[in-house]
Amino acid sequence: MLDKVKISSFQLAVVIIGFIFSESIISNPSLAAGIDGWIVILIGLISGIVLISIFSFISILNPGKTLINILIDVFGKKMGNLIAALYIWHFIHILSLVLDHYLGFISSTLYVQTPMIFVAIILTLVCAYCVKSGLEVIARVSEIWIPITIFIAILLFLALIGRYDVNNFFPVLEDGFKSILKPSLYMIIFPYGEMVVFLMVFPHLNKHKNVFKVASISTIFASLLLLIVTLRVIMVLGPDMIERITYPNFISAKFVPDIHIEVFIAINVLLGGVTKVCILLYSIVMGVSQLFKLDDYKPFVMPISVIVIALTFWLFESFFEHQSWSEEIYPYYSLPFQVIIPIFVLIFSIRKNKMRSSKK
Amino acid sequence: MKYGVKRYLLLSILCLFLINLTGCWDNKDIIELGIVSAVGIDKTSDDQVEVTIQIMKISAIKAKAQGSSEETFWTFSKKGNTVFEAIRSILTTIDHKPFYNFNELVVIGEDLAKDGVMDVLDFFERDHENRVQSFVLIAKGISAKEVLSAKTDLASVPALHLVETIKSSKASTRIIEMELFDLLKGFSCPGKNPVAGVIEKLNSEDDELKIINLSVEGGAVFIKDKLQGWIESKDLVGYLIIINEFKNGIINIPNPHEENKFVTIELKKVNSKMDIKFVNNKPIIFLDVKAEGNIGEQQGPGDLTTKEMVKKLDEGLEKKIEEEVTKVFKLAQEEYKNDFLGFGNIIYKKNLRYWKKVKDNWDSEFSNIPVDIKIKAKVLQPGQVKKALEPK
Repeated sequence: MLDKVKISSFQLAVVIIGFIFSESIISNPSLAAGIDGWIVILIGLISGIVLISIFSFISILNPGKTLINILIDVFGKKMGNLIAALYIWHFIHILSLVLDHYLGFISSTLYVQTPMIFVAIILTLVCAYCVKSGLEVIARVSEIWIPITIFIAILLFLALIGRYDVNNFFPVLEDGFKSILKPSLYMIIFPYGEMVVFLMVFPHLNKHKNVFKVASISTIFASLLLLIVTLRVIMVLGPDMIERITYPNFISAKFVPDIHIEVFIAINVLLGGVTKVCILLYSIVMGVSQLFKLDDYKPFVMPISVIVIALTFWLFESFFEHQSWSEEIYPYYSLPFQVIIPIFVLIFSIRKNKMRSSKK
Repeated sequence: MKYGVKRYLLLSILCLFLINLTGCWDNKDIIELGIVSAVGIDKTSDDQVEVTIQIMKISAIKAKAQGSSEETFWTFSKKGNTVFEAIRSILTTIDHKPFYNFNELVVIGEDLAKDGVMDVLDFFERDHENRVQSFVLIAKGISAKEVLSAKTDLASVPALHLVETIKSSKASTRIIEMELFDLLKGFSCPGKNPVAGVIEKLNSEDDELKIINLSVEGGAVFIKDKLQGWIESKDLVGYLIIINEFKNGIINIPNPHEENKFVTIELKKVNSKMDIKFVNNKPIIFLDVKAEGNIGEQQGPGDLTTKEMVKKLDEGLEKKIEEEVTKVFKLAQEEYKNDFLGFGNIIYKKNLRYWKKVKDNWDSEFSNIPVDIKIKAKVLQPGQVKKALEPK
């Protein structure tokens, strides 16, 4: 089954861009550093490239294998299955967090009186249908949506030129490097660390040797888009405002003269969001079916979706809870899954490969 | 046969999805809404907030265009401890739910402004329905409620009349165009206090207050978020030149041929740059102004196009601009002791180390810093006549 589904390099690139860019639009981690956010993005990009090269080399060294197979290979049958199950749980958790983020944004800016559960079900239903249709459909849908997202991001950047104040960048590093250290480190796990799910997708690339090239180029591209958004927000809103406003990107789009264009941000979030939710959901159901050695993942799509929606509403009672959780606990919780285990797996894969080539 | 049933089922499900396309959950028809065009906030004697809203009557606007004399707006006032409480209690009186998305103007009463405006402005920043792009005016010597109930004969709705007046700041140096967002930004900016627009009452004998009896001119100087004092509209020229917001305006200088007659110069382009310089480790405010203008009007006789006369005009213009600018610096440094010119902000951006040393008592520090002004002005064109007519 794994061999049949193939996606092209361009499709993979587009999916990666959508994955990184969509959620970062509403919760840009770099803006925690205020007007020095652009430096944070450039520093964060380095960690992003390191991480993406770890992930893609794991995939290159284990051709045709998904994360679940690789884990069982590396850690043995019992331990490997346990860690794979934990990974699936982690992905379910990430998906709930992502959904909670989108719902929080939508319910506090646009659909203020619509019940959140309604938005959640509609969004997840579309994604579930998409996942049921297969990875190729997800890739093709993203091929249509994500260029629109990119276009909107650039359009908004140009539309606000009259509002820009370059002086907002000064003074650079008011509180020294200390103030940008924490946001830069946070960027390792969000948005780049979450890309560990792509280990479930990389094996489907039609030219598998290109994984590193495609993944790194699209990561850089997505980060540059994020940089454009950050520059726009800084130049429009200025210091202090960025740190106080809940959704700076959304508010800054309100300043386009004479037209109400801020809805475009929501369109961006939803279009990119569909890609992100789809990829996560696909990885979860694929992982479940591989864990239990089943042929088909489709029966799991609906149950998992229901679990995810339930978890979304069960996890946090308020915005404040989510915020403090993602600042204080999330980095430590996801570091093993997104950085430590992948590094371990990579080292092991390199050793195994060397042993195999020396035997020959 | 089975295939056909399935297809019809699918089609009907698809049609069901169309229901979603009708709009948001909380969608409302435009006639069910009371579109708010302006909000006024005052402070009552018992320390409460009084919110006044001006709602457009859409049907009456249409009727007025056809000659009806029906009023095109309602105003409502309600009191409350917070703005939100007052705004919600308006619902007990009117049938249409006020809709704030098209709110163009926020008027703040003088008493409230003196006690600090951030207690009321937070709502406008926080609530999703409000626009931070509405203009702000401080009502001087008149309550915001009175401003909003003033009637207009010219525009369809008084608030729109005021908004258009504010927008004419592009050709006038007597008006300050200040959006709510810029005001909030001004409050949060280190080393800079904002100056907001002012609306005041002109002397008139009419019983009923009309918008014709109001005038949008001058500036309101804030210190932190509290109103400190006023800048008179004739002094605004200097202020606008210093902060480099001068767009277009006129300046009168004496006619070189005859001292008591005027020549009016229309300034087309004024660029100014404020900077900090250290002489013997003491800071100096350095202002560099470059101005260009045309002759707009000439009183009295004489040819102004000769070489000497043009030079004299340039010098006269420079002297006049320096006068205007110095007047504002005096106001800021001596009278108000308040850096509303944003000089501290320039230090904050350019010399962070020095700023950290002085920021705690910046306003008193600011009033002792000497000012060095350099002005270069040029008169470019005479207009459609070269020489004024001399009656013979």
